Order: sequence, then structure tokens, then C-alpha cells
Amino acid sequence: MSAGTIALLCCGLYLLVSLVAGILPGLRVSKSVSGYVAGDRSMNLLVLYFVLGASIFSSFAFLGAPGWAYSRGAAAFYILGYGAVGMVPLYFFGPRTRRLGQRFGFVTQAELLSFRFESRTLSVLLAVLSFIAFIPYLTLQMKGAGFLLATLSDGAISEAVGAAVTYAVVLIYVLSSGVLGVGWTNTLQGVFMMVVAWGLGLYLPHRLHGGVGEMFDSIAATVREGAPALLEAPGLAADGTPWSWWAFSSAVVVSAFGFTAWPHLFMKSYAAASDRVLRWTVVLYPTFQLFLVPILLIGFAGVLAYPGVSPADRILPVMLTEVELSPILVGLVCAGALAASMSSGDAILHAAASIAVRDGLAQVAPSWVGDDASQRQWIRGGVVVVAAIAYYFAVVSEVSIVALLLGAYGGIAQIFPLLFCTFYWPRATGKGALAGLGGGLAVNTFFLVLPQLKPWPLHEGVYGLAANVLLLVVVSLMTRPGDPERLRACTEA
Amino acid sequence: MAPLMPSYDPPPRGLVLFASSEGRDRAQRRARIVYVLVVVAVTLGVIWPIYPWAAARLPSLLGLPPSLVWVIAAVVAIFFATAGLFALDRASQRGPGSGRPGVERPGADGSGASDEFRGEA
Repeated sequence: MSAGTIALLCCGLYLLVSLVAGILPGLRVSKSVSGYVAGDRSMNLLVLYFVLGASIFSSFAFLGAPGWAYSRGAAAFYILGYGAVGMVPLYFFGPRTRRLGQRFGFVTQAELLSFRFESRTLSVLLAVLSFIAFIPYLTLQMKGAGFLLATLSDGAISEAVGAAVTYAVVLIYVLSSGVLGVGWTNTLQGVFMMVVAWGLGLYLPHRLHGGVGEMFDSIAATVREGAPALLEAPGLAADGTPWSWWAFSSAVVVSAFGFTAWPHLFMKSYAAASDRVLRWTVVLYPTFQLFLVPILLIGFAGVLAYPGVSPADRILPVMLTEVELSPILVGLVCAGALAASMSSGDAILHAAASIAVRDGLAQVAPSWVGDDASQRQWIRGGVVVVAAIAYYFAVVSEVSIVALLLGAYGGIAQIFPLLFCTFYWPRATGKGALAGLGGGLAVNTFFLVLPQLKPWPLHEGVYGLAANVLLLVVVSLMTRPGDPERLRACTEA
Repeated sequence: MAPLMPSYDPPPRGLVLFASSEGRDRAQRRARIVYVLVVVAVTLGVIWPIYPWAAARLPSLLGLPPSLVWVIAAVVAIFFATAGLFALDRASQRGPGSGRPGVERPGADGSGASDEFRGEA
């Protein structure tokens, strides 16, 4: 049996185990919307820890992050920087969100915000924003899975077939089990990703350079001979020139604000079994975050050993094929990368369909969506539609989605001020929220499309947030406050 | 002593930071203020100008470059700060309300009983 076949069998076995782990939890969850979207509000610490951790670390973790370390050096440390503080708001927002969800039956982020701000328009706007952000995100996960299987099989399996097989597995367990399927597979995938990342991240520097310290000493010595300062923050820009501190710092700030505002992460607050479980998860999250360290070491290991790899995202596959590893080990590493893709893809797929139906369709045409059982079917249908759209962009369309995804981060950060005001500023009004979110998105998009017009080289999300907060405050103070009972419910939750 | 709850008709013009069930205990309020200051300090620590200043003065650790050691330290700092806040929250919930260790006050465990607790406060 050839080495490639053995590695592919490892991936196949992993997909089979994921399928079983995803289907089984669905047997004990209720057949309601709350059961499908919020897991009957029963997730324990183990599952919630891995759901939040593994959902965050996507294909980017195994392909993009080593590529960043390889080509941009210390610029990649910004991911650790914003991740350090990004989860903190959930310590305060999460339990309040969970209690309000339990009390009023919310299962999505927009349901909470549209309740607080008494605005259906806001709900639809958030649904559209989430959908625009999710599709490219999911598309990239599919592309990552297809790319891995095609590389591993030396082209025998096309990227289209690789993506189709991987996401057929995801589709089956998301359809049958909903968020609990996502939760238990993410637990399996999270453990797998961590073991593979730490194993490979420590092994490759040792194998190629004699150790982590020796590897960085070699890179630093090369720098002294005139190469760019790869190990000094803020590292390098995409074109190889030094990155600016303006860009680095503003990327950290915008990403930190956007971190917990991502709807698929935020709505997991509803799935937690208790406030204590939710807060424990936030406390323990940095232990998951540190898994990025060995991932970055993998990228740095390739800097001197395999120069000139382009695009840089290929550095991990290149190393796996160049360094003579056992085929079982290669298979396990690729399965780990598939796990990273699937653990984000399933959460996004599930959230996108839930949001499209609950926050979009049910608001625009409530008679279509019907009762709880009917809604559940609509959401399951939505899962298939969302997967089909993302698959189309992944393997058929030539449209570049990377730009759309980059823009989405700044857009999602615009939700943060509304979340803060939901709990801490009762004077904020629905009109203020709409003006803030709409203005913030418009400014963010404007500078994303026309970056040459930026007054300073900051992330466009910073300009969006400034406009957002200004409009939110001014318009709120100029308009009538909301229903006192709703304000009390949210502020004192 | 529990702080006076604001009226929402009309709502206050400023921020209402400590109106939830956890925010009414003085020790919890103080802990939250200190924690937020730590988070702000860590955030400022991983951007310009503190990050380059600190990274230039740090030694390498376990073979890792100073710029990486510093951001790892930020992650570790947040872990300990959040764990400390969580421990204080748990201690406050166990303390005067129930009189029995391990028993949470109503509303603090997310049981949906926060309205009842509010009445007692």
C-alpha cells in the first residue's frame, strides 16, 4: 500500500469517527428549535470549551497562520494579541444573554438585539450582515478541506470532490443533530487539533533546526545579514516590506472588538447549561489560545529550510511532503487540518441557517415559517441551501472571496457597540442602534473599497467604529427611549 | 449593601454598569473595576507603543524571541486575571446570601429566578 493511500485512509477513518460523534448526540435532543439551535440549553463545560475554541480556529489555523509566520514573521503575533483579550466581553455579556434567552426564548444574537431595540429592521440587517460574513468564511473552510485532500492524494482526488466528501459528513451531522452535533464533533476535533499542533510544532523545529531556540537563532542570524526583521514586531506586510505599527495596532483592536461579536460564537451563550459553565469556558479559553504557538513554530520552521514557497499558505503541505514523515503521521496531520476546517465550518453552517430563518425569513414573512416544528424544518433546509451556496463559491465560481472575508471582520466589529449598549446603556434607542450600525458598516465598507482615502493607515474597522459610536450616541439622545420594562430586563439581567 | 436600582422611565442618560445581580455586591463591583483595568492594560500592552518598548527590553525565553514571549505573557496574564475574578465571583455567591458553602444565590446560577432575588435586594 502506498504512503499516500495510508495517509488518505487515516483521513477517511477520521471522517467516519466524526460522523458517528456528530450523529449520536442528536438522538437525545428535543425536536424543537431550541433543541436544534441551542441544544436545549444543556452544554457542559467540556463541550462548550471545545465549541468556542475549535470554532474560532478554522482552516486558517493550519494553513493561514503558518503561512503568516513563514512570510510575515512577527506580524502573525497580532493573532495572539487580540485573542488574549477578545473573549473577555463574553464573561460579562454571556451569562446575561443566557438568562435572557432562557426567559424569552431567544436562540440568536439578533433576537436579543431586536428585542432590546424594538426593531425588526435591525434583525433583518443583522441577518444580512451575518450571511454576507458567513458565506466567504464557510467557502474558505471548504476550499481548505478540498486543497488538503487533493494535495494528499497527489491530485487523484480533485479539490471539488475533497470538499464535497468532507462537507457531506458535516452536512449529515449538522442536519441530524444541530448544535449538539457541532458540539461533540468539535470536542473530538479540538482535542485532535491540539495534539497534532503541539506534536508537529515541537517536532519540525527539532527535526529541521535541532530545536526551537536554534531555529530562532538561525533566523535572527540571517536577519543580521541584511534580511528584513522577521522576528521583530510588527513584522512584515504582505509585500515583504515592514508592516506599520498603525496597521498592526488597529488590527489588534478591531479584531478584539469583533471577536465575541461573531454571531456563531455569541449565540453559543444560549447553549450553555449554566452561567458557571459559560464563565469557566471564558476563564479556560487562553489555554486553547496558546495552541497557536506551535502553529506559528511550524511556519517559522520553514523560513530557512524551504525558502521561496508561494503562496505562503502552502508551507505546511510543502513541509509534510519534503520532510520524510511516516505516512500515518502525515495522515494524522492532514486529519488535524481537516478537523480545523470542519470544526469552524459546521458551526458557521448551522449558525448561518438559523440566523437566516429566525432573524431574516421569520421577520419578513412570518406566515411562511409557521410554528416551532415548521421552523426547525426551515432551518434544516437552510443548512442545505447555505452549504450549496458556499460549495458553489468554493469550486465553481471564480469570484474572489478573500476580499469579502477581510471586509467582514471590520463589519462584524460594528455589532459590538450595540451589544454593550444592550446591557449597559439604557438610554440607547432603536433608531440610534440602526444609525450606528448602518453608519459604521457604510464607513467600514467605504474605506475597505477606497483605502487610499484613509486619513491614517488604520484598519477600516476603526473608522467604522468611530462613526458607529458617534451616531449611536447622538441619535439615541435625540430620539425617544424604549420600553422601560425591556430596558430593565436587559440592564438588570 | 445593594445599590439603588435606577428608574427606566425615563432611563438614566449615563451608563448603568452594576445593575445585574452580580454587580450589587461591593466586593464584586471592586473586583470588576480592577479586572477591567487589567484587561485595558493588557490590550495597551500588545499594541504600540508599549509592545515595542517591552519587547526591546525582554530576554529570550525557552528559545522564543522576546516579541513572542511578550504576547504569550499577555495571554497568560488574562488567564490568571479572569480566573481570579471567577474565584471572587464564586466566593461572593457562596457567602452572605446562602450561609452555606457551595449554595448559590438565586439568579446567580441562571435559574431564571433573578426577579425573585431582585425583590429581596
